[in-house]
Amino acid sequence: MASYRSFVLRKLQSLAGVLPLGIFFFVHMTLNSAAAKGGGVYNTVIEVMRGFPNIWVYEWAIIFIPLIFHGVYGLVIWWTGKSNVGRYGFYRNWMYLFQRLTGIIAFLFLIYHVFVFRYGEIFFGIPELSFDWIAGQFTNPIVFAIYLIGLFCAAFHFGNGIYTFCITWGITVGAKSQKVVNYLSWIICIVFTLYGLNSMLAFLGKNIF
Amino acid sequence: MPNDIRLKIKRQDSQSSTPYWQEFVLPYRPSLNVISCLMEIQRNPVDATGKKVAPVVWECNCLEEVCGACSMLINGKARQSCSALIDRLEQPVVLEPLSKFPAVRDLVIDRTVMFNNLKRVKAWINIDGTHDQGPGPRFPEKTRSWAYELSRCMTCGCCMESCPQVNPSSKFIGPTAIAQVRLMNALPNGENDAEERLAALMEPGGVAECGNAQNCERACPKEIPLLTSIAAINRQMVAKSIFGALNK
Repeated sequence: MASYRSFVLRKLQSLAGVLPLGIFFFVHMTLNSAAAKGGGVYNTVIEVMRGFPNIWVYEWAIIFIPLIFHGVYGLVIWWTGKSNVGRYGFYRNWMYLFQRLTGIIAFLFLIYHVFVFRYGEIFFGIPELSFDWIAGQFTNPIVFAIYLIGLFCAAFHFGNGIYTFCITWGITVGAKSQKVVNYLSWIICIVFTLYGLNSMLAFLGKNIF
Repeated sequence: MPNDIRLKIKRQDSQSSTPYWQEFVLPYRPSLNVISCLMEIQRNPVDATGKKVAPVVWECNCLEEVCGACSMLINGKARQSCSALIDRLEQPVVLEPLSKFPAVRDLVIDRTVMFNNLKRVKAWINIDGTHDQGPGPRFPEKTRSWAYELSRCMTCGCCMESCPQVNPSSKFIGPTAIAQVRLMNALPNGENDAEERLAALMEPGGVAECGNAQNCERACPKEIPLLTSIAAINRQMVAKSIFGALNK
């Protein structure tokens, strides 16, 4: 019996990126957007989420375990490829490289993000998470820039990931459907970046919408 | 019009020896291809400095871009040297052997891995028998029109060479074998072994290791829709592995 392990792992790696991580990404951005309503509403959202019964089960099952698997196995996949954009500078070949680069940057960013913003109280003795504390963080341009880069990389990786997901799962077979999803992937990238950026600006009282 | 043709060739004396570069200058003639230049060097193996050298070794056969034997890197891109016209190339014309296959000598490489891959995925039709099986089933024109494109594959290796997933740290089988599975599975006689072919592509190095860089389709000299073929095989695979399991 031949080993189908790597086949199954690769398919699951692709699936994990969209379901549940992609869905969670959207939920997360939506919750963040509460910041536009000011500190009162935002702090209530945090309280509700943190006070949710057995929230850690959801976190581990839907976020952390899929994320660790997607990220670590993604590194394995990255390791088996050898980019050749110097020789073949086609658009898709660049996207292949960017998908891997944004994946690594987003993964490193998320490690920082989770340790400081989710478990900062445990690991860094940070006071309880609140609108004001985050606003204080974002007044530091370095932190703001790190967040913007992390956000963009995640949005790009998710958008382009949907494009490759559709091929990996045999959803878009023809050139035309792939082209349509390619446009969609850029829309997702831009919309998620703007959606997140607007919430970030809300902490500084400068949100646009 | 240039007075001469300058060639820069990456040479290697044996499978394990270190490669080195050599330059050649040939008198210009119109409408030459890379192979006619190599033949000229063979006739008079003298490098650009006037030193007599061993003739450059290369492989070729059909001279009309249907056999795939003369593939090499020409100015950095994998293509056939028979259809590479000097008048359309930037000089010096840089010739290198394909880098993703074992070197044999000079521009000759060993493409055995591709033929072994075709064996691995059973890229043939089982029609052997001792009795007359009659005429084969009719092939719908709708399928034939795209299947014919896939049948033009000459295992030249350009797709393998351009693929970032084909390298020493990966087992990826490459686009050729995947496209041939799609072709064989589409043939009315080939359906019998369709599942076996898909199973072979689920093994390590199979279709799941495609990284979606999509250079293969751009590099293919026969313009075979490799990307669509990979996606179509992915669809067959999902149907087989998920919905197939639900049939049990």
